[in-house]
Amino acid sequence: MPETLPAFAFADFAIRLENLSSTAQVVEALQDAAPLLLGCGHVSLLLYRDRQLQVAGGTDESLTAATGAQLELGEGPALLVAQGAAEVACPDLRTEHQWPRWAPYAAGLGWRSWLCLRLARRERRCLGVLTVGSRGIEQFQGELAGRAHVLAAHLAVAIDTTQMQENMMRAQDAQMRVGQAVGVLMERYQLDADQAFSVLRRYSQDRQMKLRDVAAELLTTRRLPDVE
Amino acid sequence: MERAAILSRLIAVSTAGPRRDRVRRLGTLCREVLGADGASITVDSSTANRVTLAATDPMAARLEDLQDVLGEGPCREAYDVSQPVATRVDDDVDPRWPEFSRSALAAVGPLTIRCFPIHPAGRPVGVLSSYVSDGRTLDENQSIAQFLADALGVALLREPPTGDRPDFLDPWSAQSIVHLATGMVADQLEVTTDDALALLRARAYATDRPLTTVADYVVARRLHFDS
Repeated sequence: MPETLPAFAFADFAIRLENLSSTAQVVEALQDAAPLLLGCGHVSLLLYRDRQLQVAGGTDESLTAATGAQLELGEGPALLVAQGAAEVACPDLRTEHQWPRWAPYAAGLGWRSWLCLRLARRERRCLGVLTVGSRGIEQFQGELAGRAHVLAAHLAVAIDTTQMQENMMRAQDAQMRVGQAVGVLMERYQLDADQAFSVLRRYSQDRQMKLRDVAAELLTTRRLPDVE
Repeated sequence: MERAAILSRLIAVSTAGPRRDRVRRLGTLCREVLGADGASITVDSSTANRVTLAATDPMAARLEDLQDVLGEGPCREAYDVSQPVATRVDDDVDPRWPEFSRSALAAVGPLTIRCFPIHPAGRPVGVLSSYVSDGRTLDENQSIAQFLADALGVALLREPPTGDRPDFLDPWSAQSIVHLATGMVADQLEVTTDDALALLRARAYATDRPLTTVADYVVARRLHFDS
């Protein structure tokens, strides 16, 4: 077991998270800091993107692959966490029978101890899943589990805030693009704003594309949908 | 004012009343807390897309608009450097933004402007700006004012902009008319939207009008940029 709780390392991590502005940077900070903070094992991160859990990163390729396999196989501890469990711990994946397809796969990659923690903040909305894995058995009990929980709490705050910021930026950007594309249509076909917006919306429905993507494409190519 | 008191007032404003009105009331709250004569809140996601969400009075609005038109000024600087910025608007032109200095003095007369980046999570999302008429100072010190700006940021981030459709009554869509006009001018002249926006700004500057007024003329088809 690692020696004392690296309180200073956690403080450094918290300060570093304060100054990050994108989810990608938060993942990078986690990858840098996790080995020091936990002292053993590896971590991986699943985050929601477009309402789907996706692999966001990790400190070890094999652990990240085992983590992602849960999404493909549709079973595993991360999915239990996504459905509402605060944490799921497996002392030894070789003797685990709950996930008949995933557990042997992960154990086959060499992973034995496995701990999944829910990343959640406001209104308990699940932001993602932090996984800690080790090649030894029964690693995540007592102090190490405590450290993983502290890590998860810091991460949840950072991810929540940066995601809100990213959402706001994206929404602002979308509004600008749609507005400009509507302006192009107004000029080209001598329409008013409502008519031009209807044209753009119909075009997005016909092509099953998001309004913001249709707008961006129209602004780049200046090729316009036919107007009846 | 105590930090806790600031937070509770922010929460009171951002959880009550009609949504469209909230940002305006947040602006008024900031003006009161700071003891300023006027305040404004802008959000920024790219240079082309700065939006003034709230301005407590026509002078605060004019100061923001000048910075939109000129592309320089203390509010833009506070966003760019992510630090508080202060400037006096008087006969001494501030070398950091000479055009803004001259235009602001002509438009609103002598005063002191103080801007605080809104950076609840690190990178700024916007700026809280305030002004006091010449000779006065703000009631609150810099650290409280910065705390207010960041706490305001948390309230704004929880107040997501509406959908893609422009809603002209929503403060988050205050720039919508400029976006429409930008698209129209881009099509009239077959130029990029960046160039079209630059032309709109230049026209606003040359005619000493707010950017949104020039945009209104374009959208109403009273102003054409065809050669």
